[in-house]
Order: sequence, then structure tokens, then C-alpha cells
Amino acid sequence: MNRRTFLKTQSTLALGIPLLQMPYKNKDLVIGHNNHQYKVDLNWGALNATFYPVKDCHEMVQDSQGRILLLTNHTKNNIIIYSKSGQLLETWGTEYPGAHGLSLHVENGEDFLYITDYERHEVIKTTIDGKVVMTLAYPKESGKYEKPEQYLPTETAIADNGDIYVADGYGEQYILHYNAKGELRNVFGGKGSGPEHFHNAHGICIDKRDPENPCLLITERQQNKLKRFSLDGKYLSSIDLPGAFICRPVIHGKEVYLATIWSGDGSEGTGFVSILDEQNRLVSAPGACTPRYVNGLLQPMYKALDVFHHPHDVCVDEEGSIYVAQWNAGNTYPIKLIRV
Amino acid sequence: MMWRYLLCFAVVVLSCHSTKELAAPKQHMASANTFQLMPPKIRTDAILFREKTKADLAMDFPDAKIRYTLDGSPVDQQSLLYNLSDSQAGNTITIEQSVTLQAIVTHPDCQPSKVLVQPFYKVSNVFDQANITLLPSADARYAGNGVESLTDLQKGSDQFRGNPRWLGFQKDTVTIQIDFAKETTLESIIVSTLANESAWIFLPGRVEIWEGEEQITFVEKENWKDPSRSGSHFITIPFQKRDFQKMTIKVLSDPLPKGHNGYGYIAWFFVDEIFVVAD
Repeated sequence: MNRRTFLKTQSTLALGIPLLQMPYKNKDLVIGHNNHQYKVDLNWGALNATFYPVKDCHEMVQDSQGRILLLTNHTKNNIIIYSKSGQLLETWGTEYPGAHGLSLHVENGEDFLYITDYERHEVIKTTIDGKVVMTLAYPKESGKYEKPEQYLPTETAIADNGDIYVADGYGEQYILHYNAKGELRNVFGGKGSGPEHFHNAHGICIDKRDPENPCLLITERQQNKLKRFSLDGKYLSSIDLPGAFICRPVIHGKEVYLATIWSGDGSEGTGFVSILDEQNRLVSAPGACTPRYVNGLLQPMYKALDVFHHPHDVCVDEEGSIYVAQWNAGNTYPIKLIRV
Repeated sequence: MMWRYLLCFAVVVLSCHSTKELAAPKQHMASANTFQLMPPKIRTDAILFREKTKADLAMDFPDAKIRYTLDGSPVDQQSLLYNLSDSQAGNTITIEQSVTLQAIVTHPDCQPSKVLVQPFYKVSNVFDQANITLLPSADARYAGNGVESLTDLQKGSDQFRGNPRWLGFQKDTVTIQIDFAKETTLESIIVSTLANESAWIFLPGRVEIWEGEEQITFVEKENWKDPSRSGSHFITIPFQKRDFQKMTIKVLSDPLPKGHNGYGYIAWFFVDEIFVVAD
């Protein structure tokens, strides 16, 4: 009996009402703000760790069949495939020790995956069932790297024409632009203090919310910013999210969803989830304080409720439910947030 | 017969395994009382101050309340209620003496937070005229503003990387020599340091106070309170009241412990301030 149940029991007894007639039901937790509020299913993706272990749960995507794919750096099963209800469907992958980034792209009606592996210093394109179809080695031809160890890619984004953008978020902080054949077309970003530079270009996606002006959204995790670039690598603008150490932008409808691994001053165990509206304003932060803007500036965000530890990626399904994968969270499985 | 038993057992084991993994899991919504609030956020002018400082507390979460104490007594649900609208209105807690602020967040549906414990120190001016030397110098990556960082009353944050308040050393011994320029009566000194195990930063194994060739006192790691807690720590080194013209503080760091992924290497020692509490 926990303290709250105990207190409830005492007050019920004081009224002389038999407990059996007044069963105490705990209130479901609802987190988030405005139109983005969620109940929490902690058990959604839980599996028998003896058979299907995970280390860090780095990223998740949904495929064309509606299945939810989890990427972990556990080489017993780098990919774990679930149904939306959390049923285990399939596993594969034993050769991705640094599995970090997972993107899905549909090409001529077929799903393909792009896995970034920072230990292999490579990006690997596979079929949905794990057959390797292309490998992008470290970009020696860029002239920016002398050895593979300098290249620690964290994420990819795939354009409609098959062009591939790779964020070297744990390495030299360049964004590498390839064509669909894997030929290097452009390099931009890199370390530095200018607005076009990065300290931690952790995640990247293609923002097509304005179909006339598609652009790249790239997280600058260390500086709590989301940076916008043109598809040919020109810096456009930044979106400040003070206190939010955002991992990868995921666009669903008109909103941007971002797992936020740390908050405040970056202390451990302070993560939450961030949701930006069409104007890129933070409108909901499940697990965090209420987002508030003063004179157009977001006030520093911090964790309010201990639901998440280190959210590293989110996947949003067609019902608006969010699947949250976590880094360094005690080998736990993803959490599902069900929209209310 | 034995084979039939074994066959039955195998069928039962396999069916249990497959059903467990293939059956659609039942959705189970978590109750609010499963979760714990985070401690309040604290904003302050200064943790180390000369005359007075101000602090305010925040937890912008529906129905959350903050309770606090300043007199050292444990904080609970009956402690003084912090008016959250006060902090929005700029009405902060004014602190004029060395105190420890303790605060929690409570909520009708969720578990109360852990206790925020934040000491504030009114700092003496004994270091104002002092000449301080460091041996060796701090590592180039964590060099702060050199020895000036040690007495500028500026605390470093827990996010130590790129923070100019901290000086970092990966040495078995760091020596801080202080020349007070005049006879100065002291009975304790405080070293403000940092712990962050995953970054290989540990509290020191031992801190010694010397005057010339005479060792005045020492404190060892067995005395540290909650040494593995990540974040800022204040190590107080008390001694019998005496006059100093010069003092040497020797900080001895241990190798990283067994089981740590840096086992065998010397732990990092971080320091951002040394100070004496004002009377």
C-alpha cells in the first residue's frame, strides 16, 4: 500500500463506508499541454530481455505497413519490429554496434532504411528486412576528414529525389549531401561559432510543410536550437528552445516533434518531449513545465515530472500517439504516449 | 516414459515463450501517483555573497505547490508554502546570512519531489588581498580564469564543459598556496568542488591543510556526504582556530575505482571556489 492509497483508505474508513463499495481508482496520468495531451503506457514495448535485449533505444520509425521499428545498439537484435499495440513481430540485425540513426524512405513503392552507425563510421541503406543495398563509407572525398575515426554520423534525411543528407553530429559536425547513388554533392556546416556552424548537429530532417520552400531542419543539441538550412546548404534561420537539448526533428502533419534528452543546465535524467506548432512555437512539452513565451521568447524549459529519463527519439503514428525511445535508460523499452 | 515427460515439458516451455511474445500486450495506462515531481527550480543572484542575495523558486506545473524551510529543519508538506505568484511578481526570498534552503514540490495526484538542498554562504573577505598560486596549473580544457576563478564568488554550473568558472585537474596532487599578506585568523575553509562519475570527476580522496612544514589537519573521503551525487559539493575543512600568514591546501585525488570504465586512471578534480564563511 503506498502513501496515497493509505491516506485514501483512512478517510474512507472515517466515513464508515465499507471499502468494497468504494474501490479507490488511481487517476491516469495525463501529460502535455494545449491540444497535445497524452496518457502514458509504460509497458508498451516491454519484452523478455533474455531473448530480445536492448541497450540504448536510439530511434524509431513507422513503415508503410504501419509497423513500428526500433533501432537499438544491442547487436543481438539491432532492429525490433512491433505492431502499434506493442506486439513483437520480428527482429533482425547483428552488425550495427554503433546503431544510432534510423530513417525510412519509400522508393518506387518499397520501404528502405538508412542506418547511421558511428562505430562503423558508415551509413548503411537496407531493405525493410535488413538486406544491405548500399553503404556510404566515411567521406574522404570531401577533403574534411583524414581517417574514418573522425566521422561519427548520427542521422540521415532523405529527399524525394533520393538525395541523402548525413549529419556528422558526434564527429566534425559537417552535413554531407549525397545524390541517390551515394556520390557526394555538397558539404556544409562544420564546427565553429557562426550561425551556420554546429557543436552537436545531432538530428536532421526535411521540412516540406511549406511545399514551395522545402528546407532542412537540423538540431543543434548543445545550443538548444533548431537550425533551418536550404537544401543546397545555405543557413536560413534558427529557432531557440532554451533549456531543451533536442535530438532529432520529426515532422508529423504541421507539427515538429522532438525527443529532448536533457533540460535546464543539461543534468542527467532531465528529459522530456517537445512539440512545435506550424509556426515553430513550443506548444506542448510532455513531462516538462508549461511552455511560456514572454515578448516572443520561450522561457527556459525544465523537466517537471519524472516520466522520462533520456528521450532520444520519437515516432508519431497516424492516431497521433507518440512512441518514445530512450538512450541510457537502464536497458528499458520504448514508452507509448496515447493522445487524449 | 521419460521421453514423453520431456516432450510434454518442451511443448509447455515453447508454448509459454511464443504466447508471451506474440499475444497483443494489454494497454496499461500509468497512474499519476506512479510518478514523482521534480524538485523546484531555483534562481538566485548568487550562492556565495558578501552582503545579501536573493533566490526564487519555480515549478510551472498545474496544481503543484512548493514548501520550504530556511532554518535547517527538514522540509515536509506542512512547511512554509512558497507563493508561486511571488516569483512571477519578482518577490524573492532575501538571504542575509549563511543558510541552507530546503524545498519540495507537492501535488494532489503525484508523488512529492525529492528535497532540493541549496546552501548559501555569506563569504568573508579574507581572500581579497591574498596572493594565490596553483601547482600545477589547471588542464588547458578546464582552465577557467586561472587562480582568479577561485575567489571571484562565481559558482560553476553542473554543466561544466565550456564553463569558465571551473578549474579541472587530472593529477594525483593539486597544491593551492595562499599568502594572506597579513596575519589572518581562521578556523575552517571550504572547497567548492564537483562530482560527475560518468565524466570521471570525483570528490578528492583527501584534503590537507598545511602551514609551512606543519600539517594542521586533513579530511578524507570517508567524511564526504553522498559523494557519488552528481553536481556541486562543498567540502568543509575545520581546524583549531589559529593565525595564518600563509596556508597550503593539498588536494589528493584517488585513482578511479574498480568497476568504473576508467579504472586505474587518476580521477579528475574540479574546483570553482575556495572561501571562508563570514561571522
